[in-house]
Amino acid sequence: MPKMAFPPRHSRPTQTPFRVPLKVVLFLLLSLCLQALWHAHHPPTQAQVEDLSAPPSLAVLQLASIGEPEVLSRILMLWLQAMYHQSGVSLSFKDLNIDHVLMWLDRMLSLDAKGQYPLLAAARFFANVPVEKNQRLVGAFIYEQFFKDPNQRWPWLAHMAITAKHRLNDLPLARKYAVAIAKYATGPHVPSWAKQLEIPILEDMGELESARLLIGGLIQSGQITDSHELVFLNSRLQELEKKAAPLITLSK
Amino acid sequence: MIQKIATIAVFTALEGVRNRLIWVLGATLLSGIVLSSFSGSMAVTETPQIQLGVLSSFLRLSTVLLMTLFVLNSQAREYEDKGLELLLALPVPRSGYYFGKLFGFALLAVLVALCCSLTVALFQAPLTQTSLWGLSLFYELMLVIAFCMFAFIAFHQVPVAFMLVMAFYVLARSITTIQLIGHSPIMPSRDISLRFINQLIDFIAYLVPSLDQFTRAHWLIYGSGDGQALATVLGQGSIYLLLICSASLFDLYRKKI
Repeated sequence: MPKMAFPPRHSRPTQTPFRVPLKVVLFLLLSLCLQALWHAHHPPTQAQVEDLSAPPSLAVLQLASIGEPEVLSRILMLWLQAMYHQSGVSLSFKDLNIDHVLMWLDRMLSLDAKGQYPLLAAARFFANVPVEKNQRLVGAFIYEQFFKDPNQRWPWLAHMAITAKHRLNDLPLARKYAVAIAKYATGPHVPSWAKQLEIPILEDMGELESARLLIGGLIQSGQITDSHELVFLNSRLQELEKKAAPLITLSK
Repeated sequence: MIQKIATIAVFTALEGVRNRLIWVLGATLLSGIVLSSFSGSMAVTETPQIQLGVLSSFLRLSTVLLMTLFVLNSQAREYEDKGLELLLALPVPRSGYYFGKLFGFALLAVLVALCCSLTVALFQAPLTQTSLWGLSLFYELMLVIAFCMFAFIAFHQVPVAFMLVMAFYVLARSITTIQLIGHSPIMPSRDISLRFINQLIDFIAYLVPSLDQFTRAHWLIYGSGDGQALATVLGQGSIYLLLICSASLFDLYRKKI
């Protein structure tokens, strides 16, 4: 059987070097320059100040997510964030439509219940608006959302408790949030400082006796196991008893 | 030379007609009409605006996909059938072949844009705004067609070229938003990686056309299309078309066929 003769590799014709016509190269360079010039001289990108409309229904959003609501929730969050944090546009937080913002945040949480971003945005960005009405609305929103997953969402309610205390100067509201954390956020990962948030608020409210009782109750309940924390709480208890003693005498 | 280009262009356009592109276009238009009518019937108010918005965005996206698939398929078949080699064996320069194909696809793009504009006009869109929208759609389709040719000349494989075209299209439509989010003041601006990414995004923005300013439904809904919008479409569209054509020709001449 005769052997098939393949030409040896070195006998292949060598590839001729490419030759791009000079015109084509010049056109390429010219068009690149034109594109760069166009972009450089084009007006800089500026977001338009547009009113935030109310969100569509949850069913529509779920349909639009094509089976991936967690992804859509995050995309919507970035979009909402971009709407109110645009460089080049002096969008005042006072101008934002807080009702619509909260509706959007609610939809995002409905799409992805485990996501914390919408609550973070509510507590850190939208609650920072120096408008009392907005701060109270955001607080109410976070308070409502807190009960859906207290062990995960307590940080944002704690943030709102501090906001209520220091910015709104509304100690009863701050206490309401702190009580909710102590009562419902009972998971092992919830730090004790969060559960004890009510104590300093009670002190500020002048309700020393209540604070004293609360600390005493905490120590007796056996919830506090850390020795350093017990020492600290005992010292606080003694301080409170000293402060409360004259008041108790006067009341008698 | 012009006659040769015209011949290639006519046969390319005929290929589209014979490959039932017109039928698919008709089905697309019909689907758009049904979809927008259905959307409008659900609306309590602003029915024409909702219909126009749904119809225009549906037609825009579907015609881009239609032309992308058609151009890539046409190029692939010609490549597999050695039609390209046959054409280049004739006394036709590579630029002649390229522009012949591009003009052939352009004829189809004109047809597609015209049919879409007429369909949009059925839904009470203002004539001037519809004309601007149609012209813009034509330019957008031309950019996509030219990029399809560029991608196929570079890779000779439909899946790779298709992914590249889609990536280019999505990026071109969203680069402005990406820039806005990237430069958001709440981001840690001192972060080196973020600054690097932002600079990279800015650099990419120099290289891709701002397709978010093309074929906007906003024009049809609010009648906001003006001379500046037209100038943007014509200016950016022409410059970028020149850029892709030059890059494609560079690659075509560079390759040994």
